[in-house]
Amino acid sequence: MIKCEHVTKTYKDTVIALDDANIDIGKGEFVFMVGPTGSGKSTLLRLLLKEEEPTRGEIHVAGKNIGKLSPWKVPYLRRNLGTVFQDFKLLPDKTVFQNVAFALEVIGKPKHVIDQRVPEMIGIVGLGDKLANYPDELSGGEQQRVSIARAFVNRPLILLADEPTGNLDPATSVEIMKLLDRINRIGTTVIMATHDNAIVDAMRRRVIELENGKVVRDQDRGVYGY
Amino acid sequence: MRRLSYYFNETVNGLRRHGLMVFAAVSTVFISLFLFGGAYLINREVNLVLDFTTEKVEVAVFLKDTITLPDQNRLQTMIQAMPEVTSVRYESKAEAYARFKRLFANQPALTQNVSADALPASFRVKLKNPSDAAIAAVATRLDNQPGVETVQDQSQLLKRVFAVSHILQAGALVAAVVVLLSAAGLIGNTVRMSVFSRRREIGIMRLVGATNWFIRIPFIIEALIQALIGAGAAIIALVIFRRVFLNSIHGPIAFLPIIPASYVYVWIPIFLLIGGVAMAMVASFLAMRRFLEV
Repeated sequence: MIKCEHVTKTYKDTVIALDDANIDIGKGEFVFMVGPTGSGKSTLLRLLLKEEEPTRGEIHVAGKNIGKLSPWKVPYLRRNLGTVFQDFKLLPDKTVFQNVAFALEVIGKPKHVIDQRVPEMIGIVGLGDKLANYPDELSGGEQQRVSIARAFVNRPLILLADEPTGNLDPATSVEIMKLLDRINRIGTTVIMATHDNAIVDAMRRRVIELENGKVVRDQDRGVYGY
Repeated sequence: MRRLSYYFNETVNGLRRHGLMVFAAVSTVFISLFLFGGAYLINREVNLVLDFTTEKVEVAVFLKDTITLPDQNRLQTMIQAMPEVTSVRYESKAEAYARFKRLFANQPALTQNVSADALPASFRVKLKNPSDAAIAAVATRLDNQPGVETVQDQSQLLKRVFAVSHILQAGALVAAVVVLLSAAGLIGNTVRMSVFSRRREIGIMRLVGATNWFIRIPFIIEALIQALIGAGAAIIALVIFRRVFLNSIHGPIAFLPIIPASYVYVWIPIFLLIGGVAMAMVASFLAMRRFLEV
């Protein structure tokens, strides 16, 4: 599903964010990307979204070499990639329903599809009774659920999560992980960058560790540290 | 349908959010296009008047009151024979007085104080090509002939008047271009402010895979609406300008040709609308270029 071959990314020729990284992630896998701040996790996610271009190397996403993708096709690539962030990125002047619906509206989905899929998706993340609430009326965990609903409402093949539990307490984080696990079990490839060792150790999934832009560990059923 | 209402709402919200900036942009578009249209109208009018008058321009050969009939006849044959000349017509003192009375019909003070005898007789000479060289050639040949008082080239005065009007037109065009550039800048600025105040939405749109066109269209429409309102106001103002100003100068000199109404009602609106739309497109694209890279 995702394949990085000898991917190197340098900034201004001196800062090395990724150094000859080789990563191969199959369909339906759940992968943790761990490593200290500045190890290249976020850079890798941005490269997968084609927000930036690798300095060297090739990246394949969903069977396509995205280096060869023309700019006007980039939005269609992104429709296959759901994204979840530490800071939720919800629109404060829209309700829960409107925030999730927004993701479908702006890719031109018809109203009947939106009216059917959005409440269903919000129900899946457990906020069926909060459709009309605004983000500032929700807890952090609930806001992250809304952002997961928005990322997943278009049924992407891949879900990218950049420290989704970074702002949440441990109990709430567990709930979010259950949700991501559930999304993974219906066939979605999930890639999650995290610092949260408790979660990584508890889940026992594949762990890719980056350090100074290099892949230093790639281990099935791994833990956060050695 | 859904998409149209989305664009409509986004555009209206964008325009309302920055009311004062939008007003500044619209009014500079208006001033700029009004100057363009006005300069164009005056240019058309001046050209029409120029064509009309140079076509009629003639060299006047004023005769001494003491000229003898044989001298007069010899002069007429001589002028007729010149290669530059199309036609020559004798205007008697009586005819000159009649024309004078007609031209200054509105100024009785003048006509009453000039007697029928005061104006000289003349030959009115029409040239094939009223160039300066041709006029000078004719004038030098006639200047020293017996019975000739003076040779007057009427085109000189007209040319000076038109030179002044050309300078004014050029000035108006330069001003129009400068104001048009600042109009483009102001429209670009309102677009940029709209983009900025919607940067969160834009970030999410790009993340979930909205196409660039989908993201851009509300901003382009916003710029277009500003340009179209400005252009519409300029067109209305020009129609009024033609009525009030041109008609007022045409009252006293009704024999001058007037620009056809089609210029004001058809061509100027088309030019101004196309110009305004093109300017708005360029402005909004330049404004968005930095913000909306993939």
